[in-house]
Amino acid sequence: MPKQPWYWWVALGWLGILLLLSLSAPFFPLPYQPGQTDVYAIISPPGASPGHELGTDALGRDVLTELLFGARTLLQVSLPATLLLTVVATLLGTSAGYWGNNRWYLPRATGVAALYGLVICLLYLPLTGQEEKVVLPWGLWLLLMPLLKLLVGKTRWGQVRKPAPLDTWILTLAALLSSVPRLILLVGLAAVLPLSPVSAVLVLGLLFWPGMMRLIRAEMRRIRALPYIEAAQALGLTEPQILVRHAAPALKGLVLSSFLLYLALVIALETTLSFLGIGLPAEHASWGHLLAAARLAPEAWWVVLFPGGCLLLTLLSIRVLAGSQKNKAGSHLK
Amino acid sequence: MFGLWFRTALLLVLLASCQAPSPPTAQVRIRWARDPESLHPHTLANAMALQAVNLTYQSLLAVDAVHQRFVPLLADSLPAVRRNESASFFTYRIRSSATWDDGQPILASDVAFTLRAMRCPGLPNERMQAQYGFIQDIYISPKDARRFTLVCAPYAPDYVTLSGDFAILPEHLLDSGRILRRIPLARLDSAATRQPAVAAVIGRLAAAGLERSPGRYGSGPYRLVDWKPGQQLTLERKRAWWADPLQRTVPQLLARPQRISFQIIPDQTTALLALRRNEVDVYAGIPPADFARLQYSASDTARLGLYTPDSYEMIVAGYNTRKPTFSNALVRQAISHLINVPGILKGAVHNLGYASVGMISPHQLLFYNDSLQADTFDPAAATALLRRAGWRQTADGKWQNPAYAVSPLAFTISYRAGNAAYEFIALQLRTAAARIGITVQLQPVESSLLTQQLQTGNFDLYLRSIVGNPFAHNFIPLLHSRSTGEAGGNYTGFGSPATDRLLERLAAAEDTATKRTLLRHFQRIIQRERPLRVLYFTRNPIAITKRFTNLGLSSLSPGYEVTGFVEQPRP
Repeated sequence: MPKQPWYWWVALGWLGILLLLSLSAPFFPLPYQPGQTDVYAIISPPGASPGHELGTDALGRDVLTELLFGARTLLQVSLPATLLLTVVATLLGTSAGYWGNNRWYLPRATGVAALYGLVICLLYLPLTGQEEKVVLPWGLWLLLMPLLKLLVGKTRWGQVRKPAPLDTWILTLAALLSSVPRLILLVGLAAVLPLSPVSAVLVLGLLFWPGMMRLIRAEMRRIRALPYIEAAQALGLTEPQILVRHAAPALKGLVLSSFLLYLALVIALETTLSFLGIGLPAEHASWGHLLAAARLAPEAWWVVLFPGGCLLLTLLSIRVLAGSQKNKAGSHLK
Repeated sequence: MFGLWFRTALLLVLLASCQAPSPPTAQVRIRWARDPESLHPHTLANAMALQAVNLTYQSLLAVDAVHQRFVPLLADSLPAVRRNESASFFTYRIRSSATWDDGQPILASDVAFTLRAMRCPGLPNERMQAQYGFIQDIYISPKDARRFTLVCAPYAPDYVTLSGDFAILPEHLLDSGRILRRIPLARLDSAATRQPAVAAVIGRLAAAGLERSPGRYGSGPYRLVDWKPGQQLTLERKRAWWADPLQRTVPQLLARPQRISFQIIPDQTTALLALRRNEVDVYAGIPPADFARLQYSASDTARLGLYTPDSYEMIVAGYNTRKPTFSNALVRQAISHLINVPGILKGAVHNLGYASVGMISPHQLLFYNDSLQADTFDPAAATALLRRAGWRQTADGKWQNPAYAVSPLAFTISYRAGNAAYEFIALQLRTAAARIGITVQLQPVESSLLTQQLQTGNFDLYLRSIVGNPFAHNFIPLLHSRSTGEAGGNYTGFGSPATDRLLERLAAAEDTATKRTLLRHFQRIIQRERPLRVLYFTRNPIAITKRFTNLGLSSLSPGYEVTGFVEQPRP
């Protein structure tokens, strides 16, 4: 392991402390729970009221409790959301980069069945919010997919294998998602679909993959052209074997550094949404909630300083680690 | 010698030009939270539009906000009322001196034309059609062109004021051929408007641009001189106005400021900054936290008058009585005991509000039922009430009731996202409920989505504001069983034949004694049944530059009477 600069250790230390505190937050003997108000100690400075060592905000919430449990929210929301985003981006980026537009051959029958499934999903998806008993007919119609594939597959036309333009499909989907500014899309979604920890993970994870996917796709296209992949093909290894055993491991460094960068982005986004009042409900602790409460009492410096400082340190620490990982990945590639 | 005189004169001219400029024409700059969108007197898009329309048009009656009563404006007195089983009759006479800006007298025929314009299909008057549909016909006196009688539906107390509360339009400018006169008011339907002449009049009315040109067609004291949508709107006093000779004797016809400039500043922080930088003179509806900051600032209090008139806006917690959890009044009472109103008043609104036992303001001494005990913050009483309602606490502290499928006891609180006061109330209730083992989830949602959820009954407990007024005590839209469902405003689902009858009698009550008896009874029933709990009535924090006096502060929106403002001479 190369020698790391001092600030790398500080960053790692801070993130370690944060992880430890967030995991052990429920076991601390805190007099107040997250989202609990103390109507007799509104905007109380640090130490001025018993039990409020870091003071309270304009809604009477204990700043220390909100900080600790807010760190836990980072673990419960931002981390899973970034993991989901990374999984989606890696799967799609790898597939698009490796198979491109003319290396993934599919029988026409499979294409027809997949198209049928897509049409059924597009027809039923808008009904999920309006009709209660929509899942059963949806599932029944989808059950016809294998039957359709079987029937079409029996014909000569259905048996012909054609290359599927996977790269174009995935890039089109990414372009569609990127065509609307993501924060605006997120704000719009959060306004009509109140966020919970689970839905926040899904929304954040499923909206922000295109950037990482493009990076991984580009890297995979580069790897695919390397001689050792050609050698593996010449040796007769199957496509999945080449992809999983030889191509994908080369992406590890890039995925890890991108994961860290996107983790910083998702943390900032979750905090922004809570700050705007459209993120998680007020009973879920979030540093963004504390920062939003600072607008109600600008004179309460402690409501800005503590969560703002924690957020800044966390984002900087992740950036430092991501930068180091990026350099490592770069030197490895050289 | 000539040179000396010339130099002296030049010096005097220069000295004169160095003197302080003469005091500017009195101007009042008011902060508006949003654009009025349209100034059409029949659309009244929002409260800003209503304020501008009231300054540029005139109706027969006006509200004397300070004394909370209706007073004659264009009419020379309040209407004479007659009634029988099938109809009610309201007779008005327009002031003899009332004229349009071109000198033409304002006549009963103008009122008749206005009523017809409010009924014409194809014009933006749906709101007027719904609100003034009770006016069935108009009879103009053959002897006096200013006297007329409105023939209305069978009598209701609201009709006395409603019959004179719409802006009058000039017939001679908008229908010079007097085409609409030929069609009786009741027959002004789509069939009648297919006649080419009538259609032409409607076309002219639509093209008149009433939504952007008040002043030309209004008899009010002001005319529009500038409107930059989303930025500012400026009204200027007419130089010669028909009511100028009446200014001293008829207070409701006062119009002192020469210019009224409305600055549209949606953001509250920017509005506060504008107030502090002396860019606006009047800022009403200041957020309590900002108002408290102004009160603590010596420089602000030296320059600004800070006022907190009452308002008729109340913050309520409404229970969905159709949900099994809240179907029992005892449970609703129990939850009410978990709301710490004094703490909320202190923490959420900086004591700019006051508690009430019901939907009548405690400051309406005549109608307020002071014999009722206000709910106190008492978790012990809440647990006792839950036990009486059949709920039992299990070993883990949760509440179970074998009578209901839903258990343990839990509910969600729905409220408008981004409102700090609602968030504070919801967090306080959640904290108190958690201490006795009730799980509460918060559900902040966007405003229109909240309304949709309330209308479809998809909520447990909601927080929102209701705005009342001192003139009518009609609670049918809020609590009558026929107002439930997607079209009505009775979101709680409350209502029984007995309470429905009480609400109907209350809406029809005329004399004060009957109204008082019924209102006190109404408050008692609402406190017992608790379909909704009034948490507090808000005050309307207002800041006005101290150079203005005679502010006409009142509990009616917007809280001040700008037409009466007097500017103190500058030192």
